[in-house]
Amino acid sequence: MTGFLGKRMLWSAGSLIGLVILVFFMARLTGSPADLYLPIDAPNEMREEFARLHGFDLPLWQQFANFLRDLLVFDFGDSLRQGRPAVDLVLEALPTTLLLAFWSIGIALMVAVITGALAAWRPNGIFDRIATLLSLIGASLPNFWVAIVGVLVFAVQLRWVPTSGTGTVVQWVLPVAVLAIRPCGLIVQVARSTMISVLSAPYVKTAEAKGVPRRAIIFVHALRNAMLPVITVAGDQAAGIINGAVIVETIFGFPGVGRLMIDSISYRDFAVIQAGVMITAIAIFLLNVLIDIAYALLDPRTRAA
Amino acid sequence: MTKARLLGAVAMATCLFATASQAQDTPLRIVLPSEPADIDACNTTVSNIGIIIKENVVETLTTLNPENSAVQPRLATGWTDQGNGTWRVTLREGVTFHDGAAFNAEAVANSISRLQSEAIACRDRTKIRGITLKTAVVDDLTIDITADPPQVLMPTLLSFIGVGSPNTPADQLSRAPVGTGPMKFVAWDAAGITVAQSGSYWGEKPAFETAQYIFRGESALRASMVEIGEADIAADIAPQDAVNPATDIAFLNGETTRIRMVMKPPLDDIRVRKALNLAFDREALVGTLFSDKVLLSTQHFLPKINGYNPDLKVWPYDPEQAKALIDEARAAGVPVDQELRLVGRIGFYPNQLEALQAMQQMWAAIGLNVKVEMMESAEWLKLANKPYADDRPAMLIQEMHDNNNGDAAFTMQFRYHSTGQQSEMAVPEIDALLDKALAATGEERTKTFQEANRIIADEIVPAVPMYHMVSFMRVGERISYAPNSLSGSLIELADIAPK
Repeated sequence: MTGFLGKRMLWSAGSLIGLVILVFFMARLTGSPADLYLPIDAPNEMREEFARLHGFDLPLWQQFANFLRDLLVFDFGDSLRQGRPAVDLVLEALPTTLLLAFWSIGIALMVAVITGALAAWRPNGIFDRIATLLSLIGASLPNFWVAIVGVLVFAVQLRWVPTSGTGTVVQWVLPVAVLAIRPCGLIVQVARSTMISVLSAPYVKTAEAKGVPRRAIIFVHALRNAMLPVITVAGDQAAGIINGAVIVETIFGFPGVGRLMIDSISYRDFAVIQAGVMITAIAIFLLNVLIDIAYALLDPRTRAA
Repeated sequence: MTKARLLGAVAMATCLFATASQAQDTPLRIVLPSEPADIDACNTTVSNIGIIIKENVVETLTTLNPENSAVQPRLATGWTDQGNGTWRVTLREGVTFHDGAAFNAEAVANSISRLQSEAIACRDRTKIRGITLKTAVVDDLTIDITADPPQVLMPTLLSFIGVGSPNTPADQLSRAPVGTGPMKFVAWDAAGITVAQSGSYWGEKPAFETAQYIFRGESALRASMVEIGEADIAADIAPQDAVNPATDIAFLNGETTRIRMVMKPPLDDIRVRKALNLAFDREALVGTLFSDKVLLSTQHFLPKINGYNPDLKVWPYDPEQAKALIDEARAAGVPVDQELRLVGRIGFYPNQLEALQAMQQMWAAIGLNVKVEMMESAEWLKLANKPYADDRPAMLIQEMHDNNNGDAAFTMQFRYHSTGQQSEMAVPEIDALLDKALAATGEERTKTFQEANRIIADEIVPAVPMYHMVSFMRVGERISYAPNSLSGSLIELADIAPK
C-alpha cells in the first residue's frame, strides 16, 4: 500500500507541476490585469505604471523564472486585488468548499445508495420506475436553475430557510441540497444498475437457495460488492465540487474556492489563480488517495494488486 | 382619564417608541452585485467602492448635486481661483478622522500626494488624468492646490479627492479605510462589510446605527432578499426582476450607450454613417429589450451635464432613406458590401446580445453586412483604446459611458479630441472648439461645447446614439430612499430614513 501511495504521489507531483506551469502561461494569454483592474478611461501611462508596479512589464521568461523560484518555497505571491498572500486566501476559502463537498456528497451517497438498492430489489416495479425517473431528472437539472427555484420556493414563498449567507446552520441547507441533487441522481442510477448486476451473481443465487432473507442479501452481501462503481462516481462528483462549486458559491454568497477563483479570473489575479489551481489539485489528489483506500478496504483484490 | 386608560396610553406610547428605536437599531442592509477589491480612500470613484464608502466613511472635499451637478461644499467650505492654476481651498473646522487624527491642510496634502503616488495604483487618478496637482499648506485650515495644466474645473476635481487619515499606509491599498464620514469602518468578513456610526461626526448623523453591505451576484436573489426582509436595498436588479411597482424604482444611472464607428471604408463615407442611424428603429427596442424608462439619446451624456445641446434631434427611423443612401454610396464605389464587425463587450447591460442582433437585422434590411461579435473586457479594450492597430478595419464598437461629473469635458476630450484615448476623429475644427471650451468658463464654455456637439452629431456622425440607461433598485418597505443618477456609485446613508 505504501509503495502504491508513493508511486501515486510521484506521478501526482509531476502532474501538479505541469498543471501549474500550464496555468501560468494560459492565464497570461488572456491579457493584462491592468485592462480590467483600472477604469476603462485610464491613460496608457497609468496602465504601464500598473504593469511596472506588479512586475507584468518583465519579459515572460523572467516572470516565469521568478514564479518557479518562488514556487520552490510554496510562495505564489500576493493577490493583486487584496494585497495578501495568495496561498492564505485560498486556504481561507478551502474549508468552506470542503464542508460543502462533504455534506452534499455525504447526503447524496446516503440517499442514493439506499434508493438505488431498493430500486434494484424489484426492477421495473413502481418504486424502481419512480426512482429512475426522479434520478434522471436530478442528474439533468442545471445547478443554476435549481438554486434560483429553491430560493424562490423555500426562502421567498415558504420562508423555511434564508435566501443565502453562511453564518448559521440553516443557511447551509439550500446550498447543500442544491449541490447534492445532481450527484444523488447519478449515484442512484449507478447503484441501481450495479445492484441489478450483482443480484444476478451466483453467490446471491446461492444465498437465496439457502434461504437468506432478501433484505439481508441486498444490504449485507450485495451492496458491499456494488459499492466500487458508486465510490468512483461519488469521488468524481466530490472532485467537481472541490474544484469549485462556482455557481452555488456565487449565488448563495459562500466564501469558497469556486467564488474566489471566479473573482480572481475576472480580475486576472494570476497569483490567486495559480495558488487556487495548485491547492485544489492537491485536495483532489488527497481525495483520490482516500478513494483508493476505500477501494482497498471494500475489495481485497485491489489490495493484492 | 381612568387608570386603565392611562396605563393603556403609556403602554401604547412605549410600544411606539420601542418600534421606532428598533427600526434604527436594526442594521441597515444593502445588497450589492459585486464585492470590491479594496475600499481605499483613493478609489472612491470606482462604483462598487464608492457606493460603500464615499461620503459615508470617506468624505471628499466637494460633492456634486445629483440633480444639476452643481458643486457643493463638503470637507472644503470655500475655494477661490488665485490664478496660474492655483486654487486656495478653505477647509472645514472641527473635523477629526475616525482614528483621532486631526483633519487639516496637512491631511489633505497627504491624500493628494498619495493619490498621485506611483507606489500604489489609485484609480481615482484616472479622473485627474494628464494633470499634476501640487499642494502648499497656508495654515491649518487653508491649502493652495496648483494644477498643471491649470484647471477651471478645480472645484469639480475636488469632488474626486477622498481624504483618508494621514495614518493610512502610503504604499498599499486599504481594506479598512479611515475617513471623516458619519460612519466608520468596522469589519470586512465573509458576511460582508460593516460600518457603524462615528461618534464624532461634524454633520448630521444617519438614522441607522450600523449598516451592512452584503454581496450577491444574482439579481433575482438580491431582489428576493429585500422581498422577504433580509435586506433593505438591492442595488442594480435586472429589469425582469423589477416586477413590484411598490418597491422597485427605475432611475437614470448616468450611463449612455451608443455604437461608435471606426471610420475606415465604408464607414469613412458619411452616407453610410447616416444610413446606419436612419435604419435603426430606436423606439422598437424600448420596453422590449431595453426598459421602457430609458431615454433616447442624441449625445453621449445626460441632459443635466454642462455642454449638452438641447437642440439636437433624435434620428428618425427611415429605412427607405437609409437604403437610398447606401445605394448612392454603392454607386459611387464605396465598398458597402464589405463585412462590418459589430463588437460588443460582455457585461454592459442585460439583453445586450439580443439588442445588437436586432440592430444587425435592421442594418441587413438596408443591404449592410454586419456580423455581431461579443468580447471579454480585455479583448474589447484592445480595439477601443489607443494606440490603434494600423490595420484596424472599419467596425462598429458597442460602448457605454457614464458622466456624472457635471461637465462635457469628462466625455468630449476623451472621445472627440484627436488626442483622446478613445477618439476616432482628428478634426481640426473640433479640436479647436474643445480646446477653447476646456479653457473657458460660464456661458462661453457651455455654448462652445454645445456647438462642438452640434457639429459632431449633424456633420460628422461618428456614432449611432442609442439610449440614456436606467438602473433598477429595490427599496424595502421599512425604509424610505429615493435613488438618483449617482446612486449606482454613491448611496449616502444619511439619505436613508426608517419609515
